[in-house]
Amino acid sequence: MRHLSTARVDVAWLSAFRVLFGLTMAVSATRFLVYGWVDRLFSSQSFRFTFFGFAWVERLPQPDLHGLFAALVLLSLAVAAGAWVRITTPLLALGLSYFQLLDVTNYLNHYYLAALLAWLLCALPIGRAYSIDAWLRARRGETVDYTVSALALYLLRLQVGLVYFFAGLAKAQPDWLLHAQPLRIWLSARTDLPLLGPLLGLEGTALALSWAGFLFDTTVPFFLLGRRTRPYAFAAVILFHTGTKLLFPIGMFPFIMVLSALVFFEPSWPRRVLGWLGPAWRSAVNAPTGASGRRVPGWVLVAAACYALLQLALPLRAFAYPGDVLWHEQGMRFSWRVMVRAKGGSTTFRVVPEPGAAPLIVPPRTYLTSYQESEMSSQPDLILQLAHRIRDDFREQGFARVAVYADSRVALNGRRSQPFIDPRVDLGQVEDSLARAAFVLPAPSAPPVHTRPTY
Amino acid sequence: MTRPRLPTWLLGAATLVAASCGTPRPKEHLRPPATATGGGPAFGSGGSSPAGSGASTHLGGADLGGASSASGGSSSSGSGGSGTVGSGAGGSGGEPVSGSGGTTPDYDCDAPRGDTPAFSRQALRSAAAECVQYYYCRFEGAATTLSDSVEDLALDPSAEHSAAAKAAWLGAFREWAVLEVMQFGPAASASPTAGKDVYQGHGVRDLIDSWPQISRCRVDEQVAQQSYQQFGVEQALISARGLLGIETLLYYEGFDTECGASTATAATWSGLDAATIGQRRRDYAHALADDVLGQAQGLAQTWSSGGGDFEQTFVSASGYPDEQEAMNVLGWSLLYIEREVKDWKLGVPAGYTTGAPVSAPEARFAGEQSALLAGNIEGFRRLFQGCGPSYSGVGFDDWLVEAGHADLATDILQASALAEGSVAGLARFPDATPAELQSTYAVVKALTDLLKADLFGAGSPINLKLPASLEGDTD
Repeated sequence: MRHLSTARVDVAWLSAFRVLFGLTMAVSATRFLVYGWVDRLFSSQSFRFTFFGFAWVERLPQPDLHGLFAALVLLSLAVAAGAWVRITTPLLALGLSYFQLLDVTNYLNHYYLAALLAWLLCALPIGRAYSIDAWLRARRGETVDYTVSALALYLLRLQVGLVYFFAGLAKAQPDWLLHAQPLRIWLSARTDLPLLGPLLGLEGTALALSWAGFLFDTTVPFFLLGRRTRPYAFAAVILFHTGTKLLFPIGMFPFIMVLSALVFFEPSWPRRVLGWLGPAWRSAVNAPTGASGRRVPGWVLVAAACYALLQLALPLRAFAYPGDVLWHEQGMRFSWRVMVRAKGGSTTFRVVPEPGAAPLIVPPRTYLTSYQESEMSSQPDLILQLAHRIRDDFREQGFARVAVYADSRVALNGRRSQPFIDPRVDLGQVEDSLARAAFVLPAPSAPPVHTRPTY
Repeated sequence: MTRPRLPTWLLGAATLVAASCGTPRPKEHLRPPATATGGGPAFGSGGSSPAGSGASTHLGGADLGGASSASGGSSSSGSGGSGTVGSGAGGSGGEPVSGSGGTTPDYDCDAPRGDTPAFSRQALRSAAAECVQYYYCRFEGAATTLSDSVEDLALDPSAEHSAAAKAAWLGAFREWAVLEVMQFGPAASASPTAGKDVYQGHGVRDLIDSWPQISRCRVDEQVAQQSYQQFGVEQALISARGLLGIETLLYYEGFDTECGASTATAATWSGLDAATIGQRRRDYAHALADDVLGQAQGLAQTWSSGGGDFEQTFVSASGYPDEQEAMNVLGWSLLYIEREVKDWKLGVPAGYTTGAPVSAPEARFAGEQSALLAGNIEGFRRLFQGCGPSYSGVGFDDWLVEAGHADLATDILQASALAEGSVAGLARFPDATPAELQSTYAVVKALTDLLKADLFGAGSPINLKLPASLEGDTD
């Protein structure tokens, strides 16, 4: 504890992380604008799925949403440059969080990670050195501190390590380790790749890569911590994420993870790298000097501990729910279960306006975009949210005793689809909560079908 | 947050019985017996248990009841059983000849033989390319007949010529109904919201069949002002041209205009007598028929090796980001059954669907919706099963079998046979009761549930994405 409170390390790693993170976020926000995702993902919906407890978040008008993403680009660049970070970093974190809260169907693990990292950076002295802020302070005659509390380093390492570890833990299940699903399905679709394609089609490849992915995720944070193993582990990080980028449409996730893995290196690694560039660079990055003896306040240590505990508890909460989390989805989000399920379905709502009346069919398309419908169909809490909306609409029309049922089938990891939501349960009477969702039918017990590669 | 209003159909339809609740799924007992014979017409007649047969050699007897000997060991299941489930509404015995009732001309087109090479994704694209070109050839032939017939009518408005023009229109539209499903390549829309072919689509389909974008007023504008004579048909809005524009001109018998009284069209219209309106309609129909023929020829030319050679682009997947995306685009054609057929063509008149961009039924004046639906289902089967005789040849079912998911292939084949039978049994729409439409909706929904829950989407065993997932990131 004393070490955490007093130890200080070179700030160079944090500055490098700030620059790389800011640039990555700038590219990420630019992609939303360039690819038209702002309109497609945020503006075109007539109904939005909200996160539990965040239904109050309102959507900005369409032009403002474009402005938001343009602002995110600028804020990201400002953070990268270390400009006014006490203002720009919280605004960036707020913007990243805001757009994710607009619609649950847009949830992605790497968006969530980006928001977490942005909030962490808010709490860290990222503008202390090698930044516009530091340059401005130096012009005012203030001394630049080239050190930072080791707590900052440990906190980021913990955050990144937990992502890997829990992503690995999520793979410790029969579908992944015994049946190589869903990797077997995904790899079968890429057998046309030059050079790699024929390899992906080999019978044992999916299983081998499944195990490799499991072992990589669960162990790489520990190997990154070891001084001797670090270079090899980092090479594995690059190889792994290059592979995933090549095979899967996972956007900026590989870049975020590779840059994040750099926090495991010695804090002075940027100086060493710049030193390789020549004497001019070497002189520009002198050895760190700073305020030794500064102590981290106790309340900061407590806050850091609380954050760490929260990040441990969120992924583990899935174990509080009986059954297969990949099926019932309770505890699925915010728990780093990355790329472990191929799951899709079809859901239609059956509405009985009043007791004894003939049922009506409400296709989700009535309320949702195709993308939302595709996401909703395999996520029970989203099905429940839409059922409530349908219930409310009927009530507004005078059908006070309306009942809403879901006819839903879902396929998981190459299995045939099977009923997902209990069709006898009036979802209009089920309240959304963190309790076990009894309206979700049991997960399939049969193993996945053995998918063969095709060419 | 803006809330969409509760659709009016919800209130109006409160008395409707949702026959599709608890959508019936293909029953195990509906599977053909393991000893079913292959070959010959896929569907016999008179039976009552529609089921697949003429099975793919891959599917084998255990799955679909015996390999077909048709077409030289043809792949892809035909289907057998009920007389209500013939291929095409007219029961052409599974031959790749669309149309309902009577003999359909062959237009001197080379029908796909339904060869079954070892499955590959390229072989599937090749089979689809061969299939679509065969139907383009047929449609071109039918469009030629239509153009000639409408020209005769324009020159001599006799009852005989009128009947011939209507028959030619129906023949052309029945051919198109099969092609309507096959929206990949230049015929398809490139719009991301259309969910067709954003890579190679040029929207030619809309110039031939603009449904659900139709407007009698837009047709009336051209009849009244005849601006097409000066600027060409291509300047007309798509809702005023194509097969449905011709349908309005041939079938609508009133001499009123749909355009509002304050419009320039209405002002002009009021100065025209019935004879002039009639002649102008026939003249515009002639121009449209020529345009449709030109579009048909253009599509055929674009695909042909002697023309644009789009076949090569498609089969090699060189026009797409990667091979899987080319397969996705081809697969999305199958989803025509889900949205356009189930939700729009059946769901709207059945009182189920709201929010559809449908202002009027397809072929509302001719009343031939059932025949066109049959063509749509046939188009689906041609792509999913195979385009050869008795639906032989390489199809998506062979892909599923190759990937180890033969049971899914079997279920989809059975569901599509049931859907075909149900549509074939539908009366012409003006006479079809809501209960009949709802019943057919339920049968088609059983098929589309399989497509949405099992074949496509994140759970697809062959990684077929839904159009909605285009370009998005995952995890």
